[in-house]
Formats: sequence, C-alpha cells, structure tokens
Amino acid sequence: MSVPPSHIFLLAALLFAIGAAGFFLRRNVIVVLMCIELMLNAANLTFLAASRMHTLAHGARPDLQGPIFAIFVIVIAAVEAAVGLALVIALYRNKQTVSLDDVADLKD
Amino acid sequence: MSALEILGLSLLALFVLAGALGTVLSKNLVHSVLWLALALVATAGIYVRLTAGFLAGAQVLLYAGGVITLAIFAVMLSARIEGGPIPNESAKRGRGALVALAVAGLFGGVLLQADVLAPRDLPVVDAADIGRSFLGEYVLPFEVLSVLLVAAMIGAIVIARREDP
Amino acid sequence: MQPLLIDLSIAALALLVFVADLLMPSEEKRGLGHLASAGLVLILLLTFVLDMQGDAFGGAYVLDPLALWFKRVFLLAGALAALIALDPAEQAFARRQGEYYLLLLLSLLGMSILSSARELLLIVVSFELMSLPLYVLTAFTKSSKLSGEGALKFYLVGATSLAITLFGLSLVFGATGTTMLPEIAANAGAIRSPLLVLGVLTTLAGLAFKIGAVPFHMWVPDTYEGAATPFVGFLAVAPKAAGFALLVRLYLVAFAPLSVRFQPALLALCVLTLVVGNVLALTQTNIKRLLAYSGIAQIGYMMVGLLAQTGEGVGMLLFYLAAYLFTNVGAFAVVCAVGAASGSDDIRAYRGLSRRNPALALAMLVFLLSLGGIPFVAGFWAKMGIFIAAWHAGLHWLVLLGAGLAVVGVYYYLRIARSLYLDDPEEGAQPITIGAPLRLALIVCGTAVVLIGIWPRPWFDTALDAAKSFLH
Repeated sequence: MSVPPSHIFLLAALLFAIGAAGFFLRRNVIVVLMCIELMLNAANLTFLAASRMHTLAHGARPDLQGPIFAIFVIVIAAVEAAVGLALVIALYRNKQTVSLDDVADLKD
Repeated sequence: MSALEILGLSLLALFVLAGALGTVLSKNLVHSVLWLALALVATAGIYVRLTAGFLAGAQVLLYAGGVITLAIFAVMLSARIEGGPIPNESAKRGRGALVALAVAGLFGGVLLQADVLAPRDLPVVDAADIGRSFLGEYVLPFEVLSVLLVAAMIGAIVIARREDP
Repeated sequence: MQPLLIDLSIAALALLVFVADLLMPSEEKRGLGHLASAGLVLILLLTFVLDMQGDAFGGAYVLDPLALWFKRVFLLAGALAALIALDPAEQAFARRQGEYYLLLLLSLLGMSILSSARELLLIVVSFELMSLPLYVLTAFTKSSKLSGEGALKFYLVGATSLAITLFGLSLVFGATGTTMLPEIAANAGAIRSPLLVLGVLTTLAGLAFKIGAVPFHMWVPDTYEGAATPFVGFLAVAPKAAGFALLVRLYLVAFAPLSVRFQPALLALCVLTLVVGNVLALTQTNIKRLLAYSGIAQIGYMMVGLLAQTGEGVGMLLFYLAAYLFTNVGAFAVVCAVGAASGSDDIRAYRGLSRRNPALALAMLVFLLSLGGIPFVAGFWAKMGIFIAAWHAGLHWLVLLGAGLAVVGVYYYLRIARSLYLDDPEEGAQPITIGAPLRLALIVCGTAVVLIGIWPRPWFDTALDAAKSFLH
C-alpha cells in the first residue's frame, strides 16, 4: 500500500511551519527546544517520503538513503537535545529562569 | 489503497498536526511535552504506513523515549529549583501566526506540485539492509556519529555538572 | 586510507588527550594543552611532507587541494587556540582543562572532515561534530553568567540552523534522489522540479545562520561577548572557514547549474552583511562586540569572493581566510591579554596601551591595520584580491560598494589604533605583562600578517592553485 508522496510532503511542510512559528512565538527555552525537534521531525518525514518516491520511480530495490538519513537525524536530534537541556539546566542554576525574555544581559 | 487505510493515515496526520499545535500553543509546560510525544509517536505511525518499520522503532525509542524523557527531566529540574510551576507565556501571537502561515503557504504551495505517483505496492525497507549499509558505504558517517555521541556526552556532563569545589 | 590520514591523526590526538587526561594528576593538566598544541603543529607539518591526495568511500570523501588548504587553516587555528588558552584555562577551570582541549580537538576533527565531505550525510554529521563542542566550549567558564547566556543563544541559533538546513537538504534529496554531491551536480541542470530550488534556497538560509551573515547575525556579538576570550579567536575563524568550505562545495559545485536561481539571494545576503557589519561596528564600545561586527563585515567580503563564481574568486577567498586567520586570532590574543590585565573589554582599556606594554600595542596596531586593509599588511592584499576577482567577474558595483565600506572600516579600526598611542592610559593602569604562550602566539600571528603583507606572491599562487584544480 502506498500514499501519494506530495501529501506527506505537505504534512511535513505544515509541521515545519508550526515548529518555525513556535520558535519565534514561544519564550520558554524548553518549548523552543521542542519546536526545533518538530522541525527536525518534518525534515525526517520529507526524507522518508522522498525515499518512497524514488523507490516508486525506480522499482524493485527499496531506496535506503532516505531511511538511513532519517535514522542519523534522529540520533543527531537526541544528541542536540541532551546538550541543549544541559545548557538550560546550567542557565537555570545561574539565573533562575527559563524564559528567553530574562536572558537579556547581552544587548547592545 | 482501501478507504480504511486512507482513513487511518489521515487520522495519523491529524494526530501529528494536533500534537505539533499543542506543543506550541499549550500553556502548561508538561502538557507541551506530552503533546510533543503525541506528535512524535504519530509520526512513527506514518513511518510504519510508509513501510519503514525499523525507522518507526528508532523514532519511538530514541525520540519519543529519549528526547521526551530528557525534556521531562529538564522541566522537573527547573521546576524543583524554582519550587512551583514554571511560567510559560508566549509573546507576539500575531507575529507567530503570520510566520506559520507564510512558511506553510510557501512550502505547501511548492510541495503540492511534486510528482504524484500512482500508488502501488512498495518493497519493505529491511533492517538488515540498513545495518549492512551502516557498516558498508556509510561507515564513515557512522563512525563520525559515534565520535559525536562521545563529544555530546562529555559536553553535556561538563556543562550540567555543578561547579568544581 | 591514505586520504584520511590527516583526520585519523586528529582523531588519534584527541584520543591521546583523552587517555592522558585520565592518567594525569590534576595539578599537571596544563601539559594537555602543550600536547594538543604540539600535536596539531606536528600534523600541520605532516600535511606538507606527505602527499595524501585522493578520494575514499566511493567519492564521498576527498582530499583535494581545496580540502588541504582548509585543513591547514583549521590545524593552525586549533594549535594557536590551544596555545592561547594555556594560561587562562589553568586559572579559570584548572580541573576541566582536559575536557576543554578534547572538545576543541573533536570540533576540529568535525571541521576537517567537513572540508573533505562530498556526500550529504557525511556533511550533516561532521557539521554537527564541529558545532556541538563549540556550544559547550562557549559555556565553559561557568562562573560567568554571560558565558551561559551567550552559549544558549549560540546553541538555539545553531540548532535551528541545522533544522532549516536539514529540511532544505531533504528537499534536495527529494528532487535529485541522491546524496552524493557529484551526482547532484550532474543531475541538477536537468531537473525542473520546484522542490530543488526551494531546497537550495532553504539550505542557504540555514547556512547563512551558521556563518553569521546578515540578517542571521544577531547571535554573533552576544556569543563573542559571552564566551571566554581565548576561545573567541578560534570561534571567529575556524567555524566560519568551515562554513565557507561547505558553501563552496554546495553552491559552486553541486548546485552550480542553478546559480541563476540562488545568485540574487546570495547577493542580497552579501550586500546586507557588508553594510550592517561595517555600520554597526561604528557604534560599539566593547572591543569584543566591535571585533564581532568587524568579523561580520569580513564575512561579507568573503561572500563577494564566493559571488564571483570563478576559480579566481575561490582562490582569493582562500587567501582571505588565511589572512583573516592570523589577523583575527592575533587581535583576540591581544584582547585576551588586555582583558586579563584590566578586567575589562571596553575600548577605553586600550588607551595608551603603548605605555603599558609597547610590544602588545605594536601587535595590536599591526592587526588593526590588517583588519582595516591598509597597504602592506595581510588584510590589504586579501581585500584587494577579492575585489579584483569580483571585478573580473563583472560585479563592478559590488566592488565599489565594498571599497566604500572598507573606508568606513578604516575609520573605526584607526580610531582604536590612534588611542593606543596618543591617548593617556586610564588612571592607575599598570604595565601589562604577558605569559610566554601568548607571546609566542602573538609573534606567530604578527610575523605572518607582516610577511604576507610584504611578500604575498607565494600565498596568492598556492591559493589560486588550490582553487583552479577545483573549479573548471
């Protein structure tokens, strides 16, 4: 069974848009980090949909590049989240806040 | 593709979008994390429908499992230090909505023009093939990824650890 | 395995530092800095002795003259960064010195692999290996609140830029069906899909964040001000160079058939970066922020070289990077010394520096002249080369704009240079003494800047050679 890839692309685009909007909209660092995860997830959906599209176009052997790329991105996202949340904890210990509005000692 | 399958996929897509919107819009930080979990697990469901079962497994284990747990940890730790619920207000709602609409419109418009291929049976992506690729043509990125994991582990500990006595 | 030798050596050095860190008693951790610095110099010498060029993994990894040039820039920047960090690291975080040098080396490994990568997956992974340790190193001085804040901003921008870049690359993959850059280059001309154009532009936006091009530059001054000064010199040079290595491989090779589509976007970024960088530098009173905006302006000049889209343009870009390396690392080394002595990064701390330490003032003068592009120091030939290449490529008005803004630049550099010599020091200012490692770094950078300024020919020739064998 299969789905038209363009619909998955559209879903990915919506997901990316929501993540990007959240990145600009939200002031809580942890939510901003989660928005980045949403954007990465959108990239993964596109990789997989594209991979399916190429498999459909070329036939017998499934395209492996898309799924492999997606697995790498998942690992990279997890790694980034670990370092990002460590930064958040360090910041919180120092300044007692997780709001980006309070992170403004560095300004012109 | 039967009507039931289309319905199932549409439902999953709906869950993904609802989860994403919930993550961004929820007032409660813990709810935000849970909405994110919904979006990520529903994405794994779509991976299954796209015949990439192994990837779905990785998604659930690493993303929904690892990242969500980390996020919960961060929420709990910062809540404990503050001793109460964490403020989670948002700013400039109108601007955010505008960004979302613009990005979605741009990408959606272009992406809908992508080739729509006739649905037919797809070969399943085999986990064994993925494993062979990791140690075959993709061995270099695979090794670099392991170095990256070491760097991240050391880095996260260095930052999060309390200051030396 | 031959082409991988440099990267394997860096990895081995990182491993050596890691093990030595575990075995050494905590009072002797300073030795790790010596080890890292000396090791990198050794590897740098190795690149001149051995001929290792070739490709590996089916073309996914290549060691060509271009990659070799970048690797030398990274190795030199790393060695100098380790050298400059020796004293401050011992004072600020004596027990974490091992981790500091280890992360520096791992970031360097990521850059080095990135400059050789010709496959999207390898590019993404090595890019991340470069970036992640940098976030950690920015946050390294935990006693400073600004450090954590600068690191968080840097991280948020970096992570978002990665997400945007990845989304763009996923669209490129969707359109071309391959992750190998040579194959993308071969197919890109024939593909009419809007996916590809959108992907190429989205990727460009993601990378613009990374190199700090305007309007994606907001994080640069904050991060520079927040991070420890010994590290900023490295941060200002090496990751930017790596970003340009990637831009050259992607936009001048893989996506070259689409240049009509992305050229206007690149041009807009370049003009904005030149103008905003130079103009905002005028108003800065903190030397690190001033150098940050000046760095943004330098990125603009390098983008001019990229925009020329010729072998000559790339060659001049490579030359610019080398000149920029010595100048910037040197300038930040001076900032490091003055900051340590006076506890301030305000430009008032530089008044009458010539009376507090004449050698330091002379070094700063040389670096400022080079940044300003005054004749017969390295920076002059760097700007000149870029402008000539762009002129040959027909970008006449861009050259005129760049030259005009360079004059603005001269003003704010010379303003500081003047106060080094003509103003009186602030009351109670003591003479500044500098440690041996910092002195060595300053001598290396200063000599190189002057030497390139007086006798640029061999550098020009090598740079053009590296670029010509690359672009046909």
